[in-house]
Amino acid sequence: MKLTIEAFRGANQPFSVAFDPKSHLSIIYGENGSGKTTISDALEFLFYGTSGSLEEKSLDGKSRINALVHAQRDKKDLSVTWEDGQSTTIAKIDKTKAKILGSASGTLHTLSRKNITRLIEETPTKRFERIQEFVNVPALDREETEIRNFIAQQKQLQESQLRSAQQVEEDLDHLHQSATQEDSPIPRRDVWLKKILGESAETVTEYLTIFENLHHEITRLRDDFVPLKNAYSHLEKSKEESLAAQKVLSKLVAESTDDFAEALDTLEQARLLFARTTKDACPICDTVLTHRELTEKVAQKLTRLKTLAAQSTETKKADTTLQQAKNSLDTLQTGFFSIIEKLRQTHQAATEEEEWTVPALVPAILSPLEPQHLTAEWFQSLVAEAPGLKPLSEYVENQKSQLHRRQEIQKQLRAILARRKDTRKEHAALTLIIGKAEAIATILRDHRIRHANDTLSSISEDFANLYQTIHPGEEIENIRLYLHPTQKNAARFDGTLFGNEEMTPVACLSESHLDTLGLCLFLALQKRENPANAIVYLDDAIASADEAHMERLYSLLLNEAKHFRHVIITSHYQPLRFKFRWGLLTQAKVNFIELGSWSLAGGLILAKGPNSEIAYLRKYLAENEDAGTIANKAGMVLERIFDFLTGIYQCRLPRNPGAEQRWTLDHYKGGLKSEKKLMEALRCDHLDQAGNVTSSYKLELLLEDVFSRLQFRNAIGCHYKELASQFNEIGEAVKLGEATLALVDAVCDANDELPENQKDGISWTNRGDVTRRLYPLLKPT
Amino acid sequence: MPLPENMTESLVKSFTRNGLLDLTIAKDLAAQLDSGKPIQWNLLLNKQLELEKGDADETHD
Repeated sequence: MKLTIEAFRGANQPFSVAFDPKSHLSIIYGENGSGKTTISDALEFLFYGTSGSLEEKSLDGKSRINALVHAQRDKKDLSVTWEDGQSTTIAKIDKTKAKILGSASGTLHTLSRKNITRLIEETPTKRFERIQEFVNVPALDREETEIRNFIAQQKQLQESQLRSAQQVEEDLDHLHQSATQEDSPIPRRDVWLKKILGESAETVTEYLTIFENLHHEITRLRDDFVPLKNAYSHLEKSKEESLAAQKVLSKLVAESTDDFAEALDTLEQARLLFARTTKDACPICDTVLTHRELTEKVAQKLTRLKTLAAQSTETKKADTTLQQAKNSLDTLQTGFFSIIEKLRQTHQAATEEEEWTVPALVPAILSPLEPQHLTAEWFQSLVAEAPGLKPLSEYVENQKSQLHRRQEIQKQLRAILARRKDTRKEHAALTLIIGKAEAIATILRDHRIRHANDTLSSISEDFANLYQTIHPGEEIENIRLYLHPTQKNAARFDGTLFGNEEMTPVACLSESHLDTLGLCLFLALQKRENPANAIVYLDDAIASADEAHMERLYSLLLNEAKHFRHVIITSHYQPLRFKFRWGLLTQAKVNFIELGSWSLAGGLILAKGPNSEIAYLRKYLAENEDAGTIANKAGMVLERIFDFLTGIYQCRLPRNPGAEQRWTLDHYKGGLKSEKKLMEALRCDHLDQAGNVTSSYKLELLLEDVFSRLQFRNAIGCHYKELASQFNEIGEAVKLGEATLALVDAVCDANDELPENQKDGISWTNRGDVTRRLYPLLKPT
Repeated sequence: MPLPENMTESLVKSFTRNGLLDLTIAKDLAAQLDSGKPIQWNLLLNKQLELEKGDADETHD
């Protein structure tokens, strides 16, 4: 398996790190800022498209994914490549999201020290968040939330219904008050309700119909009264006009009786005259008539006849008008009689109901038996009796109004009661639904908690065993993690510690104990979820362990790693590096990877042997310019050589290297100087190609020379700069550099490589052709 | 993600206890949880209510 990253966080130039698939455990050692977390972030970016350790950091609103790009590179340059022997997966950035080409097989689980501590120390809720992927049943969790939301909604609905029910009661009170405000005494609401509901709507409607009909007939009577009155007057007037016309016509006719014969003679004469002669003489009597006289006579007769004809027309017209008046009156009388009949019927219907005392009709209404009885005289009697109908009219209006109100009250009351019924029904249904939903929510919660607790319980033994491996014999028992029985998504952590059941690990365990506790919990949980497919990345997860616990912890990790596809541990703990680098902890096959010093331009690098540093030292010495540069580089070379010597001879070094977890040159110096026999025995022979010893170097002298100059290195390097003025800075730096190179030349081969092999069982030799032999093989006792 | 082993049966048993849900509805619910489908709680509970109402009507008749 190989990871290659470029332009990603601290990695500028392409950087590759390989994890040996045959080995289940890789250890990445690197000082702070060397890029351990960059590797972890790259894996998370590739597997999950997330920004890894940046996920929980505030970037003031800036894109976390874009923040993964190296400070001096463009995001299009960023790439993370994972080759697992079967496939290659590449992750890049597309705008603000990860773009994954391919699919990395298996899962990745990272755990940093910060998170491991949280696993134990955080609140139960936060702790649950960190373990939920192992113990949660997503469907139950989601639906429990959903049904609880549903219950909350239903309860809101129920509250709304209660308000509606209150409103119904208020409406009922209001209606009761309004309907009974004129009653004395005011009936109680229930009595009034019973009374109103006792009357059927049909009965009220029937009563209302009777009075509506009565009202209708009275209105019709009133409406037709005036037309009838006018008809009588009109008939009377028409009669008078007809009689007058007759009289004039009769008189004209009487006056014209004699004149008719004369007129006929005149007309006959005129005819004969006009037909037979042109003489001005009468053809009959031979009376001489002039044509002018005859013409005048005809004109007179014609005038008289025209007057008669006109009067005749007038008389006929008057007769017609009279007839029309009679017809109109007949029609009105028939209609009026029909109204009277209907009025009498509806009045009769009203008077038959005992409930009412209906005022009587007047005789003029009761007497006519047929339309012809409605004479002008009758009409006069009706006119005279009309005021007697007023009580009936008022009574009808009043009853009609009351019945309308009763009908309206009934309608409103029934509507209110229907609302009350519906509300009660809905309330009952809601109560039932809420009850069932709450019971279901409880079932979901119980199953969820039971499953989580079963899961946690199933790992508890493994968890305890793992912890006991690191902390054997400690009186910690029954440590258990379990879900809070009522609080949603809260994982509690307690147990019997030192015989006390009330103790909580956070209160009574040291920081390193809590770290290992968290790590054991993490491992136990991870082992449940298809571990053979999982890559576990522990990023500086156990920095607080001391040397003794650390050895047990790494031995445990070596043992547990076989369950997983691969376990990657990162650390900046120098004793760890020491032990792994020099094979002191490598009982099983471990892939040890050491990161070199990071730089902005160079990015992440794998640490190389001292040779590259030595080359730089030689260069700086040749330039002879800057004391600090020479002293620093000499210090780095010495650190490598001292680390090598103290490692292969297992010299005593402080158990705790200090806050930076890094041994200083003085620590190494102390470790070597405390081994007097070793110092005396240290010798490095140089051999030619034939294997003959060409020269031999006692290292004690060279080392003492270097040791004597270390104080200058400290002063020049950085620690006590004010001391630098006390001596010739560049001169001392050069001497330190030269003493260092003298030691290098004595111990290292032509490639500046250290003699790290011990295969011949006699001495430590360089790789390739043996040109260096370092003695002794083991530390003299 | 399906429900853990034996949880479906256990859920059905709990859902039908004391007449909380009808067996058919309880089985449907457990199956939906197992398949990860979102549950329409309103529909499900109203269906249960309708069933209970139907039963009550039959008894009344």
